[in-house]
Amino acid sequence: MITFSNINFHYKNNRTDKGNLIDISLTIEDGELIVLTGESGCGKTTFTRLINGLAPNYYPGTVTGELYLDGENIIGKSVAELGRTVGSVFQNPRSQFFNVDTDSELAFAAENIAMDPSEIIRRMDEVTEELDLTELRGCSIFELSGGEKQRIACGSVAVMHPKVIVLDEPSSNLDAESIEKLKCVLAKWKKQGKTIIIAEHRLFFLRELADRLIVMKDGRITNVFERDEMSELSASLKEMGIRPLVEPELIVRRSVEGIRNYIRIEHFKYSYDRKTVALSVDNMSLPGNQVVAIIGNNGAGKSTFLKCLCGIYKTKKDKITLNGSRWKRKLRYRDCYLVFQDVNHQLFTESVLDELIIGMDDSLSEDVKKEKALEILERFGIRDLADHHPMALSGGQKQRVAIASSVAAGRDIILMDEPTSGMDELNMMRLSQELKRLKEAGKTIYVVTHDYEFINECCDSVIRLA
Amino acid sequence: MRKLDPRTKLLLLVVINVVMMTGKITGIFVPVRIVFALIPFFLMMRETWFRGSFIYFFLYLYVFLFERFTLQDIHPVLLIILLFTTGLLSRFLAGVMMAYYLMKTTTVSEFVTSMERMHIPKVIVIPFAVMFRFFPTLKEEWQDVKNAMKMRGIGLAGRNPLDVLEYVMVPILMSVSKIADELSAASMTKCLSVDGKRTHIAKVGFSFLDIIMFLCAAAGLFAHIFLGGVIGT
Repeated sequence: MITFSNINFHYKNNRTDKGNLIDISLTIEDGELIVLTGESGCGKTTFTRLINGLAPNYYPGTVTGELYLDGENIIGKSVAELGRTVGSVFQNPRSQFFNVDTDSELAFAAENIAMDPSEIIRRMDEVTEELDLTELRGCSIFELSGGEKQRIACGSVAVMHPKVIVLDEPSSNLDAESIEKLKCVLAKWKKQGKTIIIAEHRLFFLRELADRLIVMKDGRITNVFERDEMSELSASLKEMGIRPLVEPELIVRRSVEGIRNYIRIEHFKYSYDRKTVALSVDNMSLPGNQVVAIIGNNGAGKSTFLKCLCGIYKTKKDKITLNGSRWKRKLRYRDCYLVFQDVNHQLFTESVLDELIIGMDDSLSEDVKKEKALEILERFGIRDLADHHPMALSGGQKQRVAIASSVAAGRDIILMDEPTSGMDELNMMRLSQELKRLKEAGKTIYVVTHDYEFINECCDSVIRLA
Repeated sequence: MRKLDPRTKLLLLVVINVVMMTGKITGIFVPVRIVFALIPFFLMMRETWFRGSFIYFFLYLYVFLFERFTLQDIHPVLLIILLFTTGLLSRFLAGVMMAYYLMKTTTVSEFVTSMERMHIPKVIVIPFAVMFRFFPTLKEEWQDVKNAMKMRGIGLAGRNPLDVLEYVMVPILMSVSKIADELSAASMTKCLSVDGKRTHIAKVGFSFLDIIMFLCAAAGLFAHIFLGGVIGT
């Protein structure tokens, strides 16, 4: 049993109140599966960090109140000590492995507490069986996809036989298929009687599993919904800025707007090495001046498709036309702009303003560039951020800067890779509005996404890659 | 196939570098150099990296021959350039390949295990272990940033090199420091701490091949130090 009793937490070195907790009191029974949700910065991550001890041990701050785990106050206990009973899975699959190979990672935590090697191996085999990890054993983590990494992360937690497992936005970098697998893992853990606490934005995959849904806002718990109350929530959740509990059906509209056959692809092939084909498209046409969603199963090469289309990946002998005329790789570079899933990699400069200016036409004078850049920032509602360092912005703001810089660079075709992953309702709606406005300004937008709510909100047509 | 113990690999790496970089290239050191150049080739072949092994083999062969049979009737400037590059390669190539082999074939846990067998404190072992993970991560990050720059039309040419350095370094450093931060947090929740005993499931230990490699290294080092291999003696 976990009991929060009047817990307050304030991060040190934090000028805003983002992520702080105010007067949290809650009791979590053994074997319960609790889902925490709320807008970005509402404190749900901090909640999980108190349970695994990362706050205040690793992320310093001041705590008042008591937090009991099985009758013992755990505030002040070290992370390593708590790690014996509390397992943690994090948001970013890229940064939670100490080891380079999967086997070592599975054994890692158990080795750290000096468990007997034969027992570790026995447990590893047991977990491999349980979580269906056979094909991932003995691999380098650099060869795994995000979803596969997340499964190994779950496995390495399971080897410890923890009583409590906390997960901080585990699905935010995962595609539909991997989310389904994550759901299976959670169901198994629940059956084993483990106490599970998940902080999440996307809720649909947790609907059948959650015992309670806890909504947070500005560091406080605002609502607690029991299992049987959840089914009637859909409408009120939207008002609270929370993603739906049921994955919406894809609404297919018959769009008459836009340009038909804007891009014609007759032959488009790409492979990372000489053996496996990562992308193979014959005969496809994409509409222009629309927001187009590109969906498809895992491994259909959706991200690869975008990277090939914008010219980052070299495709050989491609036959693509734009508006009827041959569209070579060099031209595609000039016309397209890809907004990465991890926008951090495409913001280079010291200020948001510079970020826009750097991609502009070199023939313009500095003053004209600056004026134009400010105008674009105004349009995106981020003019007041012009002097900020891009890296100091929030995830949603960074993305807006990236889109704004594509507009500044005068690109007509904007490609986006999973833009809504890890986004709350508010930011998702804001992005939808922006994309619609870009379309009205004559741009074409191709979005690879799994987010049906987002597709229904702003996409004019849907293309499935197979 | 028995794997080579990480300690043996580390010893070979050190000895190959010392002998190749600071050693003489004539007399009895011709066969010594040949043997040491062949060790990484042999180890790579054993891992069935045929492509890499053969490229290394022929590159080294070329360098080795060039060092001995200097071309005549060649423009002096060209000769200097050639001598410079071959000199550099003959001294560094074997060491680089050995380091590559070490990084590629040693898992973090094997490395940590063998370091702890030598009673090296964790404060030293852990940062080294993190390096194994750091280099591939850096490579991934660099790829992404390079792609982003290409797409945005920020070419390397025609710009102030300091600006370019900034464009490359800012996102990489930001992203790497974020990864490092999250990685430390994740490792802590997995009970990693500087004090306290660990157990290991990695099996490391010496085999016959380790002994042969060890003898090679010892013999080479002996010749290098006592038979006047060091340049200038």
